[in-house]
Amino acid sequence: MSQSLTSYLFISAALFSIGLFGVLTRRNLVAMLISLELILNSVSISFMAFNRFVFADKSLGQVFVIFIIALAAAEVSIALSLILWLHRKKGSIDIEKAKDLRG
Amino acid sequence: MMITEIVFAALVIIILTGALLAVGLKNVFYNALALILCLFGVAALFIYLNSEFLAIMEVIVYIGAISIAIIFAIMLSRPMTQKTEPENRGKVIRSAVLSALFFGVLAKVIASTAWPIASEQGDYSIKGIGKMLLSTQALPFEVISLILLIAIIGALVLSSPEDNAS
Amino acid sequence: MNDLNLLWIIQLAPLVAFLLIQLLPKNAKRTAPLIAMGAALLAALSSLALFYAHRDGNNMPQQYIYQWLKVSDKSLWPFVTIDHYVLNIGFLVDKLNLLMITVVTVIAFFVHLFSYYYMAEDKSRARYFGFLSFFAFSMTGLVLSTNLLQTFLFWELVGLTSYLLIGFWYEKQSASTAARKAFVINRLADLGFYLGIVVLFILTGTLNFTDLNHEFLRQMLPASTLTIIGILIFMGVMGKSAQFPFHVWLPDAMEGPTPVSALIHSATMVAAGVFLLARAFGLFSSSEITLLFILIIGTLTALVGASLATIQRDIKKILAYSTVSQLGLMVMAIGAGSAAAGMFHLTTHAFFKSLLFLTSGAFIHHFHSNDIWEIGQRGGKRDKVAVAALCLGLFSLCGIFPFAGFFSKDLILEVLREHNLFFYIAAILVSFLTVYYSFRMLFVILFSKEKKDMHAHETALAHPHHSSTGAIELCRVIPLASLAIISVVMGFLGTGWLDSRLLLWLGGEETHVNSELLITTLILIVSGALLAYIFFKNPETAETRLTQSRGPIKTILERKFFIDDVYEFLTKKVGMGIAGAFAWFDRKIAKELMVNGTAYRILDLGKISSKIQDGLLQDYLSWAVGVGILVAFWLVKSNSGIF
Repeated sequence: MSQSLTSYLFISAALFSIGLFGVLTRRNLVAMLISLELILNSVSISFMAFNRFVFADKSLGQVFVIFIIALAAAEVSIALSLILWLHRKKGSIDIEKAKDLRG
Repeated sequence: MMITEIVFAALVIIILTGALLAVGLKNVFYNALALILCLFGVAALFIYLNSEFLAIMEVIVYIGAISIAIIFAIMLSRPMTQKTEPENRGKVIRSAVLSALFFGVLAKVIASTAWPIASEQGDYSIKGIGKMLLSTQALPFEVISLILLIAIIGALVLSSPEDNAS
Repeated sequence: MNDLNLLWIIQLAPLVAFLLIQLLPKNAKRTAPLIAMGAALLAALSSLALFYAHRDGNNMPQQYIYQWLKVSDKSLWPFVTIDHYVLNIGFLVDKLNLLMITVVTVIAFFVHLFSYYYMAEDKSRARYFGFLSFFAFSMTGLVLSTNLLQTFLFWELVGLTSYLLIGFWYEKQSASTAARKAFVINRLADLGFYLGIVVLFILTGTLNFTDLNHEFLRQMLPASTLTIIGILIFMGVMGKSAQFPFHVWLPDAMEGPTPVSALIHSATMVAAGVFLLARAFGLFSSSEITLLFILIIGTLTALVGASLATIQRDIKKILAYSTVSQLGLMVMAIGAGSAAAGMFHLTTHAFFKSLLFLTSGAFIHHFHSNDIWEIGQRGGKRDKVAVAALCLGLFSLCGIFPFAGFFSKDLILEVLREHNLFFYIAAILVSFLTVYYSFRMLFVILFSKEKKDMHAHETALAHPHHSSTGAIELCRVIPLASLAIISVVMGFLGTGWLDSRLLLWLGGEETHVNSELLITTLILIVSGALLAYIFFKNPETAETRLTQSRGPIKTILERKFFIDDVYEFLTKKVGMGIAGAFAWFDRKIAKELMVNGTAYRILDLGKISSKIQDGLLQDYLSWAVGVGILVAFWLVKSNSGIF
């Protein structure tokens, strides 16, 4: 089980779907961010699994995961600054209150 | 062999449970804690995938830095004391259906493809990663550092007080 | 000076005059009458020269044709087998044309002359003479044309000119209404005319008069088609020559200046219809039914016109209805098969009717009234020249020997008698009525006691008499005298008394004196005059008695046989009703439902679709994810065997 590619891929797919559900459902901006982190992690698992089972000669997948983690850090810092800024402006971090760009 | 499989199964359960809790619980602080649980599971999974370095990195960076920052934000914006409205039922059903569909498509593709499993095993040591970072992947490496710089500056700008606009 | 040059002069001189008059600067407008008269004189002299050159009647008909269109495609018309279709334009010269063109241009010249006197004080003189010239151009074009289409072209131009001239004093509401009425009725009738032309052209491929003879048509088309074509083209004649029931515009057309009535509405334009009947006689005579139809319409017209003339007070209206009646007689003659008799009467009628109209113009101008009672009371009998001309004209109209009208009318009666007794009796009745109303007019003007009318005095003082100006007075007298002389002489040219020149020339048979006919006409004339005398020897009492009498006949006559009421009903109720229905459809259905409706539905659609953009991030994300799943599904499906 732990040596088959498909199980890792299933985990990845499941994690992605759960994260997707969270992004589409939660009203709280921080909760949305948390779900986004789940998605990023699922992709990391996927990369690692492919590296181990399919492209086994180089450790390119791990390098990519390093990049993903670094990017996630940068993104979270910006995102949290934005959330705090929005909280200052609007008084709440409910995403359904931020609908000024309506058509 | 058996025990690795049992631990693997436990890890899967931890990960999925953490994820579900991270998404489903009402209190956003509990969501962050559930995220940390899930990430621990993911780090352990990395060990299974022959990359101890990355497992440690995951713990240090993701759990140690990112999740803490998230908790900072939760504390600073005090969403716990605010009354949040319940989510719209239609919205929940819509996203549930979409996620389920997505998972279905992915699962079918995963199950039906004949993945070409490689026979050889390469170099997964940290030495190999370092060599790669400084030779073939040098460009992304530099770019990442640039991105981090920009992120720091951006965060500083965004969080500076209003009357100091510059 | 060969024929073609003369023809171009006759055709174009009036047009040049018209254009010159239009281009004149303001202060040169005084020369307009002279320009027009010069052109008219030129045209008249050229016609006489042409007539003289061909007086022996040889080497005619002659055509000068310029080809206009040629279509040689059999496949255009699947059900006919004509090789090619040719449309020409040009001049035709033959006996009929020559006679007509001479009559038209000579009378036109006299009318121009008289107009110089009549319109001497009118401030829009230049416009008037311009239109008169334009009419001369159109009329000569009509007479000289070689085929039906060219005739139609000038037919319409003549109708236009008539409209312009009837409504000359457009400030008067009644004048512009009358002009519109004339034009609309004319156009309506021309619809039939044009349909006839189209059908004829499609089925035979030619519209040339030289081709349209009896044998050619009989062999090309079946009798029913010929009947239909004949009746359709006759519809145009009905409109132009004021046949029943299209006669209603002619009495109203008297709103125009009197010289216009003299030229257009008695002598030339209304005669154009009769001219067309003679011109295309081969077409009409190719079907018995067409000729019968023509005969019946002519009879009705003659009777209606004559009967309505008996109760009119306005001198011009009497003459107008008389014209309608005489046109009816001409049409009857043609319907009975003798184009020559019809044309002969057209010629004599042109001269004496224009004389009568000019005379009435003299009366009207002098005594400032159209009403025969008022003219009589203001001293009508004192104007010697006018009275003399009136008598001559009226005697000719009644058909009294030895005036021209006697010969032509007798000829018609004879033709009718040989054709069908019923129509002969109708014509006798018409002649009787003609005598009655003519003498009625004469007696009222002559026998009315003169009243020292203050009104007439004032108006006479306000307009100083222009009999002081020599030239203008000449312009009044010369036309009257000339036309009178011609009216007398013309008759002799036609008949066996001299040597039947005109008639033979026209193609009719030699006439002989029929004693029975002579006696009948004599009885008619005497009894008619007597009846008129009995009623009107004392015009004042006659007037009071007439205004007081009531009765069905009087009502019918006064309401002009209710024809105008029928037209009013048709146009107001029926026409407006249909127009109203269409307007409703256009407003409610086309506009509200379809045009505006579509616009509003699209707006609604827009409103609905703009609800997608609600500003909520997660809704947008859901859309993106949904579409992404579909795309992924489709990509996988089409590139591999999965799904």
